[in-house]
Amino acid sequence: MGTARRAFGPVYWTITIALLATGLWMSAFYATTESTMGPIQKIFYFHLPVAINTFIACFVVFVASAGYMMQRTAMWDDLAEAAARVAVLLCSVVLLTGMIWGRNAWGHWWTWSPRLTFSLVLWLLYVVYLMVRPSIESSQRRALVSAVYGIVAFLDVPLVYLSVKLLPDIHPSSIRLAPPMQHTLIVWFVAITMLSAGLIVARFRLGRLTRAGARAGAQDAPAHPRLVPLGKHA
Amino acid sequence: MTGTQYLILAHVAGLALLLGYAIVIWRHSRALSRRVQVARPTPAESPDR
Repeated sequence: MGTARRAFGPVYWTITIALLATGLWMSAFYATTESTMGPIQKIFYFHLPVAINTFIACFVVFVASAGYMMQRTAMWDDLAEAAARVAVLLCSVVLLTGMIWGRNAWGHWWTWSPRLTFSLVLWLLYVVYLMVRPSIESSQRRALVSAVYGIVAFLDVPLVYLSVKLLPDIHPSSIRLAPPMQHTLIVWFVAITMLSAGLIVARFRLGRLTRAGARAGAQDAPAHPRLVPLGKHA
Repeated sequence: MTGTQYLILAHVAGLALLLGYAIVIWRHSRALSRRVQVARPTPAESPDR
């Protein structure tokens, strides 16, 4: 059982990397080039799964925050933090790939359309979530404030999703896909979902390990490896 | 820049961010597991034995 558990991680990450490589190959050689936009349309296979996984990561923050409010256990707080970090990362990739696509398709990097604006707000909300956490000294108070914030911040996710349907927007809302395009999108979606799930689990374990290290008296292990609480900077 | 160059730029930048973060977590976890093991000696390593 122990050996099987130890082997799971490397096997999982090998499959994820293999799927990512397959997705790249399919984007380059298998999916047909869209007639209107040309090769730049192939960003879509990467951009859309990352966007959907951003929403999933935000939903995990929401669920973990609600879990903390109900049970008040540190495990939920660690899960919410891990998912928030991955949500920020995924949202950064969504904004980045979207901007690169926009530069080629629209001729400019950014436009204040509803979907782009709400996506930027979503990124800022979770960046603030991560910035506020280290500034609160008490771990219980930090977890409580973060849980309330994590629940409220999730309200932006439906706004991002619905903005393109309810408001006038130049962001594409639907695209007709030929079967090779659909297959490519499915492979990318599975690869990115496995990658983001793996990242959340790995960051969650790191959070638990940090907490265990602090309990075991490893004084040189800071509660947040890369962050120093506000007011404690040299 | 051509559409293909923008396409390559988007994939390289996006995947570098995602996989780079995975490597950062892996390195931190490995370093921290060692520290936790050092801080929590096993009974065999305990100086009381």
